[in-house]
Amino acid sequence: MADPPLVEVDDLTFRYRRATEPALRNVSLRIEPGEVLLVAGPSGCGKSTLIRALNGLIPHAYRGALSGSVRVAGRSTTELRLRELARLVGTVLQDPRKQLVASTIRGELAFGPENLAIPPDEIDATMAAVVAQAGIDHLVQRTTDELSGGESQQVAIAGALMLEPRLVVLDEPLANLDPLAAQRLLGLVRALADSGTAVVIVEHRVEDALQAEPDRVLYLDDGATRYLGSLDGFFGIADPLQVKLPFDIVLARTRAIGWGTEPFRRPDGTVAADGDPPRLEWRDVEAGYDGRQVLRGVSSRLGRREVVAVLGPNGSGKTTLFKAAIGLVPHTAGEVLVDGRSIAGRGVADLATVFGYVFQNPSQMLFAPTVRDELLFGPRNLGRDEGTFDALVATSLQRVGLEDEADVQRRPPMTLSFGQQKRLGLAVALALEPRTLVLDEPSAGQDHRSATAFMTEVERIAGLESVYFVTHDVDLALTYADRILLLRDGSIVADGAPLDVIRDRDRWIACNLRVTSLMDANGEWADRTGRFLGGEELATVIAGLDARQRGVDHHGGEAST
Amino acid sequence: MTATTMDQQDSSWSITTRVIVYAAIGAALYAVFNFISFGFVLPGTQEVNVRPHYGLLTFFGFAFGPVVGFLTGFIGNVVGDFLTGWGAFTSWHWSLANGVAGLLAGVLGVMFAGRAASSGSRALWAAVAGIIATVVGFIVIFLGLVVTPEMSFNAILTTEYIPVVIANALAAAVVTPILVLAWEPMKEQLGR
Amino acid sequence: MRAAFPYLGRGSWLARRDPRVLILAAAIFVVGLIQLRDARHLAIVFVIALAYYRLAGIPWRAVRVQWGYLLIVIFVFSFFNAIISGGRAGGFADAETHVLLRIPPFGAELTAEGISLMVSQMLRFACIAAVSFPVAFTIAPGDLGVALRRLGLGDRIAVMIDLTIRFIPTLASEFVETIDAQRVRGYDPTARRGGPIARLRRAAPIFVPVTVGSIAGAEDTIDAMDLRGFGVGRRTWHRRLRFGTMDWLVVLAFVAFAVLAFVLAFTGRSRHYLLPFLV
Ligand SMILES: Nc1ncnc2c1ncn2[C@@H]1O[C@H](COP(=O)(O)OP(=O)(O)OP(=O)(O)O)[C@@H](O)[C@H]1O
Ligand SMILES: Nc1ncnc2c1ncn2[C@@H]1O[C@H](COP(=O)(O)OP(=O)(O)OP(=O)(O)O)[C@@H](O)[C@H]1O
Ligand SMILES: [Mg+2]
Ligand SMILES: [Mg+2]
Repeated sequence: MADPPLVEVDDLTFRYRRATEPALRNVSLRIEPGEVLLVAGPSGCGKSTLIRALNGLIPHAYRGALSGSVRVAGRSTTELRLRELARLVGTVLQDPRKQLVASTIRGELAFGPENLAIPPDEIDATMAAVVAQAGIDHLVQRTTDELSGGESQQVAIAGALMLEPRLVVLDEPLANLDPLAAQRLLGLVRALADSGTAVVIVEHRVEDALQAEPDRVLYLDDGATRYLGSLDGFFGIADPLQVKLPFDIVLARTRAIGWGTEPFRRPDGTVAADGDPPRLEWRDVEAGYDGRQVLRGVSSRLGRREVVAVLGPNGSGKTTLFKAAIGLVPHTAGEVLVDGRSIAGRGVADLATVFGYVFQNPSQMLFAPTVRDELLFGPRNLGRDEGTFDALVATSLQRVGLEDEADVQRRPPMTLSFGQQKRLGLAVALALEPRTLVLDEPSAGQDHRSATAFMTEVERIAGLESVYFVTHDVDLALTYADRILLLRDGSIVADGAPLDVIRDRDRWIACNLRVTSLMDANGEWADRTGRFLGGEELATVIAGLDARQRGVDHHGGEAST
Repeated sequence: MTATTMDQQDSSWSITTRVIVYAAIGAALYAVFNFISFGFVLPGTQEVNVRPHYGLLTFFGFAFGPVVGFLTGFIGNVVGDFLTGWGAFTSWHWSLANGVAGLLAGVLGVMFAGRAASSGSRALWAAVAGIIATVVGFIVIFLGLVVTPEMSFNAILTTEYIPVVIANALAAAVVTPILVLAWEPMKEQLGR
Repeated sequence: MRAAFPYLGRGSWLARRDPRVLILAAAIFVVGLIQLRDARHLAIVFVIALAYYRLAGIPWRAVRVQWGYLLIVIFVFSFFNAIISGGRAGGFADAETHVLLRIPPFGAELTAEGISLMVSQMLRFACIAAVSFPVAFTIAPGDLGVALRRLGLGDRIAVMIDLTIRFIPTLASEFVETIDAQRVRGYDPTARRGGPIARLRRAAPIFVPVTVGSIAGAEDTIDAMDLRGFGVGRRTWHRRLRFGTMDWLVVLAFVAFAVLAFVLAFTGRSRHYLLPFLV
């Protein structure tokens, strides 16, 4: 028998000090050197808790009731000190802006070794090696605040590698990264594993994570192991509604269980229609931040009754595009028109009654002591009629599906879960009774199910004429939008219906976008479906079609005799 | 059940990672708010300049202890002075005063911790602590007698101490409780 | 809006010095400076301070706003003092003060002594500012912490200061983002309405999310640091600093100045000087 596995988790159960229910229940697993383990599961299932158990934050930084054992390199994490564990386990967290602690990249890389009192010369040597390994030579001269999200994550990984760990754990490293940045990161992960390091990667975006070629999958549900084993086996049991699977898998599963449901029909309210002046029009708009130009002559018209998705690389100007539209970022050239009227001289607050703007990070605006006050902040600022407030609060909450939450109106907003805060952010925008909704990264930080549910709910909101949204989730955009804008380096490089936009694959890839299995399938079946369908819908359609096919053949058979 | 090192448990004077990070955030916020100030001049006065972000300092002290309070005030003010170009060496005694005020807010926070049961009363105590810390802490600016020999005790008293104490005590009394009330429920969630 | 410390002096002569030099120089300079009273001495020192400032190679465009703000504050500040203390602080006996004009309504006096003091006070502040700017803009990002460490500050505090510098740009952009998010809800950050209490309360929609948000986010930073072995035990610093001959010379020059200042002060050669043309 060879030396013991790198990581041995035995019957691990952990309950956080303040929690009533365990976050992990009897989890056992082994991890061998050079292996990539993908950990998936719905939000709140215990993924991050497992990561904390592996890197020693549990039990060293998080108190609670722990039973079972976690052994790394043959030694129990309770015996090892965090300082010793740091040399064995490298960790990368979700939000790069919060885990980078130095102003310069060199400082960031040196931080770990410095803490372990490693002499500068040795640090130099390691740094040279790691910089090469992580392929960040072009970054070492920069300062931390100049880095894009993707670059920050690369640096974060490099920082972890500086201690030459034998296990690297990543907790949702892909959130907010454009597909290309994500691809680079996963390539790096794969290379790591090939060089003998074990990797545990937690990720909602299962299909994307496949690029790291995981050897095994651990599927957690409510803290317990639902599945642990090969990918294929996982695809056999995984629920396509819970995790995002490659399309052929979805199709196979659909065929197997014979999906009965009709494809989701978008309410007519938001189907593209022309005529009256566009809701929003950019005319050669240029805009930027203190002298630095971001938007370079953007021209486009977004209809009153349209669902439009904007896709593009990190930093291409997607957010700026809409900030310019509601006057948050002044445009330096060109003109912005809303319902045919120039926004020049119109205040942000005034435009806010036309556009409900939902920011990417909900907690950025939550301040009121209660959800109710939070919702009424806007209406009060605009001097709306107090008499209508009770109804307003009720409907806003009801529209985003928060009304059932116990005593939600008196909850402090910041104590809601991330997904709930996301919905509250939406309700806050709806409380101003806008005609058009603008969503920045609606799916960021949510699992597949919540993200799709969220978009479906949004599109069903009564009284809403149009929805414009910015996202990095290719399939989400193609599925829910009537129209796609591709933005690159501050200019619009493509504009059209999903099926048309995805025809030009080179342009698609040039915008840091990934070709998904769902795109291929939709392209294939375009003539039958006529529009881009979501995975489940398309699968249903196809399954239905070939079922009918078989039926026909059968008939033909009978007729011939 | 596992016993583990827990930052919040350590003495209110020890410099743990948590203290370092909170202090850095406090100082950075204080400097940034200083830079993009929401300040306004108290009606009916020329030189009483009310700076809402001062309440941030007393909050950090009250909520996270004397060390965080001192570093937030001292480092935050030094860095803020550099950001605005008003080199910190010109007004190091002001930075010190901010630091001492934060430190006192922290000491009082520890002292009052026992008294306050509901978060409502904690907010009230926070206001009290903020005011006391300000009135006492800013006595430090009389070091100005050394830095600027041109200034008489009276000059410092009337043009600096009294106006700044009025303005800051006001900010502390109003803003500190708001932040305490907002932070309390979060604290419960982040508990480790 | 970008709140950060741009490395404006990059490549300049002072930038090539050991960062400790800039800090020491400023500190020693201030100690010496506050010994001097005589406006003529201060005027000479100001010229020297400016020469030093020029060595930092800070482009004027980048800092003219700061300088403008600075000079205004200095003026207002010294002016009030001139009126209140009226020169008494200068050790001129009240009897012989020369009143130039009385300012209604309180009949505050503007005396020749007061103005003389005002002049030297303004000179002193300008001097200190001139040696302070290089510390802010001519120390490379990430060098401050290690410099202070080598000057005797504790490891943790040095790291904490680096961390502060690191957080400033991030928090500043979150601050801007929050202002945007609230403006979309009809919030007007520039509103002047209401009494002081109301106006203070109106800071809440900005202060609360930014503050509470960043404290909540601190959990990740704390984990990230603990997981890389921060906190317990000795620690090294990767950035090596070398105190070269030229560095010594600069520091010695400032020490010499300080000594001279003390001598002048104690031998009573640098008393407050009454500008003759005012009398
Ligand atoms: N510090 C804590 N104190 C108490 N309970 C906690 C703490 N952290 C997490 N929990 C709870 O433990 C459970 C698992 O949380 P965990 O963060 O591991 O889920 P997750 O799978 O990472 O979710 P997500 O995908 O949203 O990150 C959740 O119910 C959560 O509310
Ligand atoms: N407040 C700001 N101050 C200065 N520069 C900014 C600011 N906001 C954005 N930028 C810069 O403008 C460029 C475009 O930013 P924007 O947020 O519009 O891109 P994006 O397409 O939304 O990126 P992401 O996909 O990462 O959200 C980026 O280079 C960014 O660094
Ligand atoms: Mg998680
Ligand atoms: Mg964006």
